[in-house]
Amino acid sequence: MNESGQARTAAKMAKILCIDDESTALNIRKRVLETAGHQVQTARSGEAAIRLFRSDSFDLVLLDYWMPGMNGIVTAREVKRINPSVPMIILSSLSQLPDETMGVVDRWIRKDEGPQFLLNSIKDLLNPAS
Amino acid sequence: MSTVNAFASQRPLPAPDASIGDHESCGHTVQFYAEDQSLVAALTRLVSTALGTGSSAIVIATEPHRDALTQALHASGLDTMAPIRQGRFILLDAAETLAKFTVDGWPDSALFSELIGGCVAHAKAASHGGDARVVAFGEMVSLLWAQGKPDAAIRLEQLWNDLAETHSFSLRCAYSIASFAREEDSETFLKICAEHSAVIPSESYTELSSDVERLRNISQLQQKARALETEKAERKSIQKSLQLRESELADILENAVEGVQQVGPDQTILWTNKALLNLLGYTAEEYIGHPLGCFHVLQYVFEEFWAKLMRRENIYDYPAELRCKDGSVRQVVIHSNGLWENGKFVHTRCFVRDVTEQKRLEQVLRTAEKQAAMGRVAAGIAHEINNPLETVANVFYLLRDHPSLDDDARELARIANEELDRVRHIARQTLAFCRDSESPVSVSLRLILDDVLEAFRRQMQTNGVTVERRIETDGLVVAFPVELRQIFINLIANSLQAMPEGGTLRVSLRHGSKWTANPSRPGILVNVTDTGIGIPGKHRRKVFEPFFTTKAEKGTGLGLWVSRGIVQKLDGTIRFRCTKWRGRSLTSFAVFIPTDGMGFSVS
Repeated sequence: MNESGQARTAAKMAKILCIDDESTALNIRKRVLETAGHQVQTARSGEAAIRLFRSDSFDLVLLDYWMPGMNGIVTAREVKRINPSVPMIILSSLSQLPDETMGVVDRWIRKDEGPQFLLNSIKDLLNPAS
Repeated sequence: MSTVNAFASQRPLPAPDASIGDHESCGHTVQFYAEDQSLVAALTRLVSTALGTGSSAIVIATEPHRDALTQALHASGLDTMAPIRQGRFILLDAAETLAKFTVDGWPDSALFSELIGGCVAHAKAASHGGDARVVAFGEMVSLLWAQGKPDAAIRLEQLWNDLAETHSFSLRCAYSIASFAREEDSETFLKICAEHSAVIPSESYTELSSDVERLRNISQLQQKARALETEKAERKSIQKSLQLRESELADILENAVEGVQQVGPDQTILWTNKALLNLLGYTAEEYIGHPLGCFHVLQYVFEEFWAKLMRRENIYDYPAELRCKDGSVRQVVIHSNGLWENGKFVHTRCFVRDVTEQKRLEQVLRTAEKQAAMGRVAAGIAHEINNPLETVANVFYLLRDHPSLDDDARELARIANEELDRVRHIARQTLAFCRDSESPVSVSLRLILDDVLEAFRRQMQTNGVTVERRIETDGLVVAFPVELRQIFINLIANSLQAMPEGGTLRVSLRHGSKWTANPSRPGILVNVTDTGIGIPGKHRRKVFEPFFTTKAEKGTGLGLWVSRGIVQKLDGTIRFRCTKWRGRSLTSFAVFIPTDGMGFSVS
């Protein structure tokens, strides 16, 4: 993580890359994250997400699992390959994801857990000591 | 020898019978004959020669032979009345005479000697002339043979021989050659011949006119005899092979794994093999001889089956249900057709295969497939619902603190968010059916229960609920951990909700057996019992129905339905019971999960 990232982390704000193929869900999720003070950039596909991730620095990546083309886990593997230090959260409606998912991302959150749960999980990942 | 006397007027007498001059005066000859007329012709010659020379003739014969003889003698011009009056011609019935000296079917020597000896003496006295003889003909021996008394026939032959030692006469016996038509008659035939001093073959030999012809005839008979022996040996061999084959076939049918039976035209069971008796549990006496329809559960099915047979149809895979001795029912399929001879139905050929287990597994599979399909549909729906639900939840989250909303609008948003929570809960419970991993693992029910009870610990403390555990085993089962957790979350949550003012929650875990007719199926029994408000009687039948709840606004009504679905997928069972104990209601849910590993065999 670079200096600005460290500063943001210290302020409990993060620059988050949020990926989802559904624009409405993506935009509302972005606004929820922004209410918590986070900066959010969005991508509507795995390919676009990778391009953004290469060109900028992020504190956390939040991905949807089911996406057409390059799905969440494939995207997550590529992100991890580029920068393994960035924590990742994968969002899904499913009750249980394959084991391979857990080896790539840091947290799996079900979409029905609610926005507060998501924000708390982001906070836990960015500030593990707390 | 006297000359031919007055009764030889109209016709020339038959040529003298050489047997009188050729044999000893007390000879014992046996004549075999094929045709009665041949015997009568020979007898006529014998008698006419005797009477014509002043000798006496005793004829002990059957009525037809006596009548034919008398007629032939008259036709030859011989007056029989005079010799009869003189006592030189004695005609006796063979059966009547035989009866006079047999005791219990056996010839008595004393009675024979007295009766026949007396007759011979009388005839001897009546004969005249220096060379007068007594010629006797008897077929009593033939009668005994025909009655199936060969030993008695031989004994009578011996009595004649014994009589010949004290009386002077010649004797001719006669047997139909057809009486010795079987292989097993050979030995007795030889014994009979051995009791005679001369044997006259049947007319096929005696009618031959030269020695050359007779030798040819003998050679031919030898060849035929040899051919017959060969054929007999071959037939025996073939018969033995056939018997072996029959025995093998009978063994195959009797011991076949499938049921085989024959049913007669009156629908009575004629025969069945062991497999079918064992399948249905009847003894042969309880099954064979009874109407087939008695053992069919559905009469219209049996009637249609029989109608098809009567229409000469070949029946394949005909489904039916058969009633066993213990009252249970076996599902079978029947192949059958009928044996018809000269247009008449003789019996069925039925092959019966038990498909009870197959049907049960098919039903289990159909249920599992239906559940899987339903689960997939539910998963698809739930999955699709969760996406917009997340967005809506996020919107309400944003609205909660939106500056443009007044208190009333904010309250409305809060209510909407609460209702949304209920929808999310339903979607979550529905998705509990589905999983992405296809492999169940070995799970400790003890750990699952510990986890769940720990999760509810704070709520139980708050409500004043005391927990009593009775854990006797780790309770290892093969399942999906999240599903097992869901079962007990639902049960314990229900119990806590039934005890808002406190109470006791008892959880037990032990080895057990399934509550069916098959008590040997091993498994794990979990009981969750609470001392809450119980389940009203009118609701008890609906407890496992989806969307049924007694918890007004709080319940989705899916918890027990989901739990039962999960248990059934594990091939287990879930039951509940409401009782009273010391004045308190007890509601107990019991979950059985098998541990024999068969639960996932069809999923």
